[in-house]
Amino acid sequence: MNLSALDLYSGRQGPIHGLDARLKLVMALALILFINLTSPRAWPLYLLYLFTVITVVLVAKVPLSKVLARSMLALPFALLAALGMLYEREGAPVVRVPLFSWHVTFTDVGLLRFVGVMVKAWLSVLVSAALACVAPFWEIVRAMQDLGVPRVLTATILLMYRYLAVLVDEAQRLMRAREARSAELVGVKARDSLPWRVEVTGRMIGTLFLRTYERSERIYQAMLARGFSGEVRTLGSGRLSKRDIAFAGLILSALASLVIIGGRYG
Amino acid sequence: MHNGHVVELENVSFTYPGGQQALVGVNLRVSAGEKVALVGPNGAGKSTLLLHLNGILRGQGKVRIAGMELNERNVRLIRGKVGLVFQDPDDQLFSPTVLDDVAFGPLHMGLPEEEVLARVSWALEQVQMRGYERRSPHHLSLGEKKRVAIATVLSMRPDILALDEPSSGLDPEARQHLLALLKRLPQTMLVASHDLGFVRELCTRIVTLNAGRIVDDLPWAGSLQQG
Repeated sequence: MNLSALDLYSGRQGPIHGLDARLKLVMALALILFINLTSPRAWPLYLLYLFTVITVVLVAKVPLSKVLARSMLALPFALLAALGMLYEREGAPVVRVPLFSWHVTFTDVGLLRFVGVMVKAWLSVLVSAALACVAPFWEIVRAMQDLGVPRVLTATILLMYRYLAVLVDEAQRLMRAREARSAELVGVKARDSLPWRVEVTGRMIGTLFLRTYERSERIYQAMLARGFSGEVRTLGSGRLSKRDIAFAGLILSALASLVIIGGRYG
Repeated sequence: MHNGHVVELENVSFTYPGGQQALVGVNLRVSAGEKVALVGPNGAGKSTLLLHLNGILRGQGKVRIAGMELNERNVRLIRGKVGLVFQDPDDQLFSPTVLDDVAFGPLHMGLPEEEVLARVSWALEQVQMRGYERRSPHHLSLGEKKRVAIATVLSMRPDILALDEPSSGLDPEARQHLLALLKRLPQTMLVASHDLGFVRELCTRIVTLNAGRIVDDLPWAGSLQQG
């Protein structure tokens, strides 16, 4: 597997890609906050949020379909959380659905809340998916560090990110080696029972764990050899440019006007 | 004083926690500017010896680098003098970008940021990898990774380079590039390798290890003839 799919669009050049990652992270978080604070009754605002995200994605020249596809990933989880809202007793009954020997009644309040949670969840994930397409993963993590997330945490995430691909390659080599020796003889039934496969897979996981453990030892030695003493040090990220500030102003004024419009809906 | 010897090992022995004895009473002296090959079968103790040079492993006996006896107090000072390049560049390159990785050593030496960036540029220039600063190590070829791995220690301006199997896995062209690069660098070198052709062209002395002991130590003039 090629893990570069993770950072497929984030390494491009462009008006949005060139902006400071700290700014993009803060703007994304602000947008998610606004989305989740908006009342479902003010639904036209959701359209405006959607419009904002789509505009950013299009300006960044990232394929919109890919961002939309990625944003669907979290929907099943949101659905689980939102199902409870359907059983709201408040409000006027709208539909009665037969369920086995019972009837479940959905009220207008319940349905509105259900749709509200789903839309908020989807829009929030959409913002995150868009962020992941306009900034490389490591820049986002570095931005988190600059904004106060402890270095130990960000360094751990970055190491995990760096070695995820190596780990996947290692697992793939193991599986390829198994495939290459999973042969058959003419007229002899190959050993292929479920317990047998479970046993082999179990041993492979053990091997993978050992290899990973040994690699982590070597990485630590490599860090020690270059003077690592437990304290994580990184280069600074520099100052915001005028373009960064202009972009922040644009997004913030868009959000502010949305709040003003939203005020009319209560 | 260290009588011109930048590396001195005196009766160094090392046993791994599992009980496997990797080095047995090793004595070795290397003068400034020497390029020494460490050859011998797998498990002879070549990598273990390299790991002793900057105190990653510490066994019995004495290790002196540039006249300083390696101990708890000066181990970090010595790590700035001995640049250790691991066999697998995926172990050496642990940062998200090439820039971060080459900057790691100088940053941990406490240098100011401008100086760190200047050293990064210089080190990448040395290995002809300028322009790769923002690339992720995972997306480089093995030859490129090996060159960046060398840059990660060059940026620390070490006096001594300890290289573990530098040419393994490289295609002939990448191997040739690496050879030219190492020949060009002025540092004292200890090179553990199975690639006899490689060390014959690079090194001025060939030390053979077997079962943790030095069994042969000969000057090699071949590299000078081909110079």
